[in-house]
Amino acid sequence: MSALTSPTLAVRIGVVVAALVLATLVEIVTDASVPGRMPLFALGATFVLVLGAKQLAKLIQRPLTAEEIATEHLPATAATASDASDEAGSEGVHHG
Amino acid sequence: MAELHPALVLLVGALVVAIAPRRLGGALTVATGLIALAAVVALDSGTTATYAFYTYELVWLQADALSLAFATVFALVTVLAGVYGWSTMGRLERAAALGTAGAGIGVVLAGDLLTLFFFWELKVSTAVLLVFAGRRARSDAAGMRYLGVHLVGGVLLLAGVLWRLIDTGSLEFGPLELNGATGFILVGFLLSAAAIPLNAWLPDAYPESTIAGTVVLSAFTTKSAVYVLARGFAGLELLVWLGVAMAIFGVVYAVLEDDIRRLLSYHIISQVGFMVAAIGVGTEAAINGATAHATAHVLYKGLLLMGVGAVLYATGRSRASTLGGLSRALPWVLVLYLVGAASISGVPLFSGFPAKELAVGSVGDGGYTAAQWLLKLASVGTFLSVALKLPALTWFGEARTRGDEGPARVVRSVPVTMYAAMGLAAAANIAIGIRPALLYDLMPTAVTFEPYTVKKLVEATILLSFTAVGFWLLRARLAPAAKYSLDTDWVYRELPGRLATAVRTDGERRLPRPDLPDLPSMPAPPTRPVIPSWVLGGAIVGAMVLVLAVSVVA
Repeated sequence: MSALTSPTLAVRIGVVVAALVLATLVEIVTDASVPGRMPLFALGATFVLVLGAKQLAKLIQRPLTAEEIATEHLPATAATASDASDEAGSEGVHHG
Repeated sequence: MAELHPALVLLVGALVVAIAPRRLGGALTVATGLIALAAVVALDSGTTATYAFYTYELVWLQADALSLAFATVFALVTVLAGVYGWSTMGRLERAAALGTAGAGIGVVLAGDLLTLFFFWELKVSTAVLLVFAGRRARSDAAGMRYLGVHLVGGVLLLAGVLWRLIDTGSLEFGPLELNGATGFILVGFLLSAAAIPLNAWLPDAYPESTIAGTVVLSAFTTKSAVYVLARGFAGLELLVWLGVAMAIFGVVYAVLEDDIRRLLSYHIISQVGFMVAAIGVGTEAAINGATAHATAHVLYKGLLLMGVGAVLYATGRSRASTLGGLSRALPWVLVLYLVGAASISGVPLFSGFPAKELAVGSVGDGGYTAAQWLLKLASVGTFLSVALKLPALTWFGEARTRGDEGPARVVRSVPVTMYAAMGLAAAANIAIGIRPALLYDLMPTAVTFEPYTVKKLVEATILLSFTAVGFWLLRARLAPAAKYSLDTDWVYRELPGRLATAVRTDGERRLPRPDLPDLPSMPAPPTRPVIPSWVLGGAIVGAMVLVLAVSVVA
């Protein structure tokens, strides 16, 4: 099955088109702004930010070192026993 | 009658908390915050108090609508932080928090530049203790870097103040015209506002503080810088574009960030960018917009940091790549966090909507249409990273664990005082969202802006909805990874080491290695100091050169 006939892609395209049509209709009915401008701007901005950031990540990101991971645990895990007496939260201890 | 200075209340409270029995610390902290809030509310616009300092008459209290707006929300967040940290803060931490709050309120009520400088440095001195209160090697190192950077900023500020005093004979703090002396002052202010490229200290230091300490830091440091920029440099066009750059820079880094506290720290830079841009426009509406945004930001950013602080408290971790699946264990933290996320994203009926509409709208009305659209782009990034990415990776999906631990993960109970503080902050955000007059009535000048029009509601709803659609399409690309994003601090954290390595390697290549007899093994070298000596030395030498330069020029 080609990418274009993939159900997932079809669903995605369908959702985007339906949302665009709905938003444009709302803009026309309410005379809020230039029809279609704001939805396309928001969608385009999201793509630019996410894809642009991923490209930038290739330049500015590095994996955490073992030392950084080893020292990342914060004092919360080593809280004193006295903290326990202050706790009366409704959410008990969970194992996730 | 002498007025009761709210800063004095907080500073005396800090001393009392520092020596009082530990069990009374929580109550004393909250009570001090409440008294300070009452003292702020009791101040009338136009109130002043002066004192003689050698031949100068300094104004240590000057209340007007602008300063009272900031002082009110500062006092309010002091109370909230006191409640939030009731069962987690140590004695030093409480004293430092009250000291930072007192210094922050002292800054916004200072009527002259020398008094301002005093409270400014007091704020740095107490805030750094909140970073050190993290009590880890990482927080020690981050605290020293924070101190080094702000030492430079303080020296620049003092140099500018003294230069201006010599030039004009005045210490008055009002609108400043940009020249050599005020240029120093401006850079000092911008450093504290985390303006790029002077921003790296913020995401470096804030996540290393304690859970409650981060809430306090986020409220006072950058927001007092926003106040002094609004007071001194309103209408400076440079600030419009600097603010826009900050707004976009912050969200781009937030999109990439794995550590949820660093993510929110980058978001502070972005949100302060909105305020700086509005200050650059400088109209009455824009100053109202910057002030409204700063006021609301203190409340919703405080709530967001309380939410991720609760996650950190419960799980002991703050990287998204080691979180996930917490919706069953911490459902109320999620709900309260989402109130903050809706506020910061400008969702109608939450505090960010009336604040952001006023700020961004004033930028467009000031003739900066391109800047207005770029700020809307940053708004898309805000909703994307704070309201969609962070909750999705923290509370939903599969629970992710670190490689060195088993599949089980313990989630501790969150103290009721944390829930109480988050509940109060959420209530404040919803109240402002439903009734914007609560916010607008605090503004420096009368606000005639109407946020809830059909046009604005439709635009905001469509902007947010289509950002959500974009997130749904691209969510696979936002999968968390244990990575660190290099910032401008690369210049002083990594570049010198690389240069040193390069020079050493080059020297070793050129110099013949002599034949040496076997030497006894040397003891292990001492551990690396928390701050490289070249940083400290450079800061001190830089400070001396600046003072010398100002003396010579004057």
